[in-house]
Amino acid sequence: MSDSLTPFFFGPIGKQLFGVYYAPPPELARDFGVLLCNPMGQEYVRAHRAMLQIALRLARLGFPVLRFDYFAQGDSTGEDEQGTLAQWQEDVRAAITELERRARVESVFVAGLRLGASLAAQVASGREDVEGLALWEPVTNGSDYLDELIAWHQDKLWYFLSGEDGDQSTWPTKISANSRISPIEILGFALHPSLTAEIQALDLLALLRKPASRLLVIESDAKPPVAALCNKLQQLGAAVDYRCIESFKIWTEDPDKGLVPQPIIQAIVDWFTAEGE
Amino acid sequence: MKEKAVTLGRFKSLVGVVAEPDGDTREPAVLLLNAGLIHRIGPNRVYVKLSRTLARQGFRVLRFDLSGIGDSLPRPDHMPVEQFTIDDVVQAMDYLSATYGSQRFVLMGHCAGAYHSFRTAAQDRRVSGVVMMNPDGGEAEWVEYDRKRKLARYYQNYYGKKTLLDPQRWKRFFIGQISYRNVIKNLLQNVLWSRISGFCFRLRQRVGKQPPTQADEKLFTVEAILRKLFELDTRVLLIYSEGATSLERVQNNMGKALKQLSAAGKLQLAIISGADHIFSPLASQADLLRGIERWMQNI
Repeated sequence: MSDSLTPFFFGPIGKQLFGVYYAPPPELARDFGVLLCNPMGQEYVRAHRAMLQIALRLARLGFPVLRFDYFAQGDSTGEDEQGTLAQWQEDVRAAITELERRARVESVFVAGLRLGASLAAQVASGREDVEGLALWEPVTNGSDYLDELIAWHQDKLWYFLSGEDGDQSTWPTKISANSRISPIEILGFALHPSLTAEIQALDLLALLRKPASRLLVIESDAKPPVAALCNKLQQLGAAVDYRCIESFKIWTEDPDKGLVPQPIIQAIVDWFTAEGE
Repeated sequence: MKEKAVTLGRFKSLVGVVAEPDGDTREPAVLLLNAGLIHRIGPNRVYVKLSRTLARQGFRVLRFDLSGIGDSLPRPDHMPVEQFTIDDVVQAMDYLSATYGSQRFVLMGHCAGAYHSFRTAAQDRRVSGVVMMNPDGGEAEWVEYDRKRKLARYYQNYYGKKTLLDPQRWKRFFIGQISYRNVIKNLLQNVLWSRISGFCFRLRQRVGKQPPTQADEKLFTVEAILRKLFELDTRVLLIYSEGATSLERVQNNMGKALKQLSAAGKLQLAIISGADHIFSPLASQADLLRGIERWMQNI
């Protein structure tokens, strides 16, 4: 089966976002589109192939699918240090609108990985047109997430750079007072102070409304914060399908290995297929 | 500077982004080729930065995904990878010629992209320059030498700096909460033995260096590329991260040829300090961009 894809830019001049739209075979086309929300920075670079696989498989099953890059990420307009969570939430809204327009559908499913899952949940909780939401390893607590990224950053540089030829003076060891005024660099990307502050303040358990009536939550090792998130979503009235599927963390793997977490991708595709009937 | 998303190639299956100057466009056009399996934004999004930097200098730049990489679909004709990588790049140049009238090209690539760049340049005379960023690889013994170097460096830093200055780790050491066996293994095997075997390997390379055999010549190594360079009129910017094993290898194997090519104006060697293989530190990215920008002014 041949795949039909259209790369394009959308959004206002100066803040144009790169997207790839996957049109389903007309005879299989469904009434719901699927929007995919990427992780950020280095995690996105490494997870690109997995997100692409989700898009291709869903499109072949009849879903119109849109993948896109947030402002200042990927191919979208903007430099690394210009990205903010507020802007990226706005980008998710713009992408939903674009998908509904292109696919001529009135409601969508959204899937997100890591920070993309968190953004998707935050945006969806303020809308009525998100039918279902798949959260893959959502970032529940931004402060813990930043600590995780910084530890990874330091470990990579210890391994590849430090000692003989690396200047360690610019490496973040924690989010200090100084990082509130100047960008820090994490894993090859600059993070503006306003972004680090926003991420630090991110708390997915603070959602006030259910993001969708039906949610799929996937993680690869059971963690208390994700269990707490599932409880919270159920308290808000959502039906939560939780799956713990053992797998490598694709967002940390070397892209040259060409890995794809097949069981997780299949679970996401199967869930959308069942929910989208 | 403005950017446009495109599909191109015989099967319209290749996905790319063209960055164009706002004003007049200069030749040559630039193509950025995938760094391994990383999609067209490049390692740490550096291809996006490079595209935009060069477009602001007046060059038209296409960053795109080869077949089966990033957003580009696999080719339906099942052409072998060694052939289709070159064919994809040729089709991308054809696209720029047909759409914008570009006649000369500079191909740029990191790691595997560096090889694709030069392999295409060796077959298509429209390519007037090549920028090779950290072309890696080589014989298995060099790969193993590289692995041990990195391992030794990591554990040396881990125990020598990180652990020594951490009171919590010392506490755990004294109350027996760590694996003494692992510590001894890491220090003896991963630091000491890796250093010793690395030293022996370097010595062996210097003392017992063999001239390349016919089989070696067929390997597409930087050495083979440099030999080919003597025959072509292609200008090459060869960029390495400081301390890269592949740089050590090429200097060890081809030091004299490097100097001859540099003297002939065919080759410029640039070494970026404080950089890992994928130019993670932002300062190294800035140096990389500046180096390429400067070289492009003279191409």
